[in-house]
Amino acid sequence: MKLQKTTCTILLGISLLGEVASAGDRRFTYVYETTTAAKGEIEVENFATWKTRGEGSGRSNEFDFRHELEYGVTDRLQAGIYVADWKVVDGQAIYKDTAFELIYNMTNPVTDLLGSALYGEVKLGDQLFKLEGKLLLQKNFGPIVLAYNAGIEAEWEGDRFGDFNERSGEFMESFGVSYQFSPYFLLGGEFLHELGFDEWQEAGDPVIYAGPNASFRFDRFYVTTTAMMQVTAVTDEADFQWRAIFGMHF
Amino acid sequence: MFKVYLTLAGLGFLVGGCASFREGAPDISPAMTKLGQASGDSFEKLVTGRRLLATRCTTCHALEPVSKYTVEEWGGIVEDMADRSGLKEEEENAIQAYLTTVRKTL
Repeated sequence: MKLQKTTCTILLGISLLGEVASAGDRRFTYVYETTTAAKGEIEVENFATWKTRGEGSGRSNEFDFRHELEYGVTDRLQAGIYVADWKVVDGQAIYKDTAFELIYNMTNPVTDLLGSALYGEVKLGDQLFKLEGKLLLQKNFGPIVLAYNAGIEAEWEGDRFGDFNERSGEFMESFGVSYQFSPYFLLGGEFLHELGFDEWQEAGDPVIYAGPNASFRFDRFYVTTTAMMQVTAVTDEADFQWRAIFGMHF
Repeated sequence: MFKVYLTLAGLGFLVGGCASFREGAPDISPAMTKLGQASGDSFEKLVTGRRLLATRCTTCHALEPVSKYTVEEWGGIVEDMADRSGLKEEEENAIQAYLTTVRKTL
């Protein structure tokens, strides 16, 4: 109950922060773009992800939520905090982790031959510690935008923070294409490839997801959403996942 | 053969990207510089306006051809979008100056 109250407080705080926010509208939900918030600009993004796997009565569902606050330190460097990553299990809200990220924009996807940026993230939870690094690439061809991310993450897990007895690594890459039909409606697709390494030893089965993506822009807010089907047959990973990002402007 | 495809893809990338960028944010010509200065807008201000247009506006949407709207219409569009994208007053003024100058020379 206490946790639910805390979650509500966090959500209320984030909603209020939205009143001073000016977020850049995202074209993708899994793929990061190379552009960053301008100096002094605050952006707020709320993520909702539904993952499902299994068949019949054995089917399980997971609902994940994330609230991100981003700040333009300079015109090229953006700092972000995932104020709270939490999930809903059996109607109960459970806090997962908090993360900090930095994105450094190196080249612009419009004015340079290829847009590029470096992404770094540190994640801390009750039972985990995670480091992630990515290279972000992007090119804008007028209404068409192509983006590619490649990265690696290292994760340590245990019964409690600091007492880690499991470690794993993961290579991931993602690709997105988006076409702007009008400034208010964009359609495209995203592709995600993940390859895990338990104990940094043997590689697990590669998991690949692909699916359509749409972004709707309104006067004061936007919604970007992607539905991803697993195109491989890895049973202990989600068969289907859907993500939506809600951004607000006031 | 792979190298040929790679080179062609690279060239396509370069040409395609540049063409769409030039349409939405044309280079500042000497005529534009002269026109801008006559209106009290320095060359540096026009350069800043062009850079902001190409980098800030495209984080959300593609650039529209400058010829698509009149000077008055651009004025209203930039004013609306400045509020939405959090542009500072001097940044908004620089974009207005650049678009006004370019549109008058078309």
